[in-house]
Amino acid sequence: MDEYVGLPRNHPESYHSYMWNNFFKHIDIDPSNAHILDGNATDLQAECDAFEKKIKEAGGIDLFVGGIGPDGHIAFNEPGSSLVSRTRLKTLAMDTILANAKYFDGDLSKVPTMALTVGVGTVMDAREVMILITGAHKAFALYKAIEEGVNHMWTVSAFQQHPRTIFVCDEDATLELRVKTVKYFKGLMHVHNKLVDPLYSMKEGN
Amino acid sequence: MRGGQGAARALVLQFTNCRILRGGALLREDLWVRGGRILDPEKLFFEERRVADEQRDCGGCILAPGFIDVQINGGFGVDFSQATEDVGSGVALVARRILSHGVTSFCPTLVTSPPEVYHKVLPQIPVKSGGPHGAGVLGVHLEGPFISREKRGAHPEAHLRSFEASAFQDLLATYGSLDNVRIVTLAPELDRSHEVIQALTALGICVSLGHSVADLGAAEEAVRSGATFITHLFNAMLPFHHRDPGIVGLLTSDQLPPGRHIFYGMIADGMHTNPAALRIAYRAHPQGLVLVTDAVPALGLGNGRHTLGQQEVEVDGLTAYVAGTKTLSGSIAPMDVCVRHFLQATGCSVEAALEAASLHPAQLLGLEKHKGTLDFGADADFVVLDDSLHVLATYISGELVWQAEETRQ
Repeated sequence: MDEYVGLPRNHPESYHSYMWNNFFKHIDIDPSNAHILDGNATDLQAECDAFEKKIKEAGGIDLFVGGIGPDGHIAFNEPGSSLVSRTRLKTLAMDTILANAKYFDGDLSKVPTMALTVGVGTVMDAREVMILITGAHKAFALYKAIEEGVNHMWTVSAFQQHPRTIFVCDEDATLELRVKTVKYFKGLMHVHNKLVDPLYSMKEGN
Repeated sequence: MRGGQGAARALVLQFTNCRILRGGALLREDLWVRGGRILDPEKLFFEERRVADEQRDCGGCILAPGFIDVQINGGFGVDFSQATEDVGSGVALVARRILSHGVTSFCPTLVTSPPEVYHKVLPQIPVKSGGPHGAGVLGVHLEGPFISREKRGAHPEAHLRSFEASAFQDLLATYGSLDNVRIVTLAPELDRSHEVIQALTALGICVSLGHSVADLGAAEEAVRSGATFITHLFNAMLPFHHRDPGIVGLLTSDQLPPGRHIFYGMIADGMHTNPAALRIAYRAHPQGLVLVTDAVPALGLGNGRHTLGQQEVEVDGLTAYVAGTKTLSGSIAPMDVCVRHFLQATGCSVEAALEAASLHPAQLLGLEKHKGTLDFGADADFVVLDDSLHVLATYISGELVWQAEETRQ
């Protein structure tokens, strides 16, 4: 979904490295089916446009999986990003740079300041969206994303207007939510179990 | 043939279900090989968009860089110091047989001999890449004849020499040619040794200190002139003394050129060095320890009596005696036995034991970009080991060159 600008592709903190080490090398995906933005392209905007084109040619995104930043950003759509934005070059917010510093020996001067990223609009076009949020440090962003309005200062809030989005959280991530909200969604588990129970009794009946 | 234009079209091999030694640690990673070299799979994936042509399941084993033996005098009845018409066959036989010990590169070693022997033998031992025919020859190790009379050990007294007359010219005249030479062991207390050490170092030949009565000061001077190795630490040198540590003191000397440290060979066969001494050396300077076999022609011969040249030798397990006596007659422990013994005696990590037999000798010879490592771009010389470090298979340039019986299909 994104890649730092100007960071060598084989740098241990690049998204190419991250995706290779945590995903691609463990599965048998055809390499030509893996598309990651090239942060070292000579024409960065052309690279972004080509990425949008590839998505279209593949028939659109079926499932978008991502997390959020403590500032509520989705991919690198920093606070203030257009909610209808497409894949483009973005300057990273100080919050993001500070959060990333720990991956660059704590040296702020080593952290990339720009990145290529899919736009909010790009992700909104996906047929299904799954956002994974864990930890107390993300709790306030989650609150802003689902209990407050749609606001470009918390770009992940845009998914309130997506027909099919699921936010997967742990307990700590819900710390800033209303008890009522958390109880409602936890209560859905009861409904979910009732729905799947008949399947189990059907199996046992065989 | 390694690398080159054909490499990109060569088959990509992926060794899976293994732990590889890389960066000093055993990592749960696959090993990728192409064109005889270790391949970067991430680069292959993103740049060439290719997958492996063949996958080989390693059954959860350890993959380590092939062992490098920089001091081995012969084996299987072959004596490298014997001037025959067909020295090449003897070297080839040893090269092939040590594959089962996990050795993928070695330095055939010649002990103190008369000039005629060097002139006849050296041209017959060229540097040679390894392969299914046997381990690679990195160059010859000449141990002597410029050594101490007092510390000659088993070297023949009659053929000891000095170079006080014409220094490097004397040495060159004795050996004939240095073309195939990789390491020279000498005693630095010999007059004009510093000129000789400098000249050899300038030629890219590794100078090792051994069979010597040098004190620490003389040894440090030798290192400043270019010496980088100690031949079988503790053996054939003055014992450590707290007011003059001798050559042994190089392990912790603060008089060495900045950024450099000394490497030292150790025979970890359980016989030639007391385990406590092995531990003292290892703890003092773990980064410099190089495991060597210093094996003699009796290596690999079964138990019993054998005639080797002028000698009658009795082999009993891992020990060789002068027949009918209790006098040790050289080492016959294979390299993998040395690695296991070293691991057990020092209590070091598996990674450290493996590096002592691979990375450190490669660093000593300045080959660490290509040998003794599983880094991307290095030669694909490696061994497959079980958790107790028994050799199950040996690979050179990514090709299987030896396999243990039980693992064969």
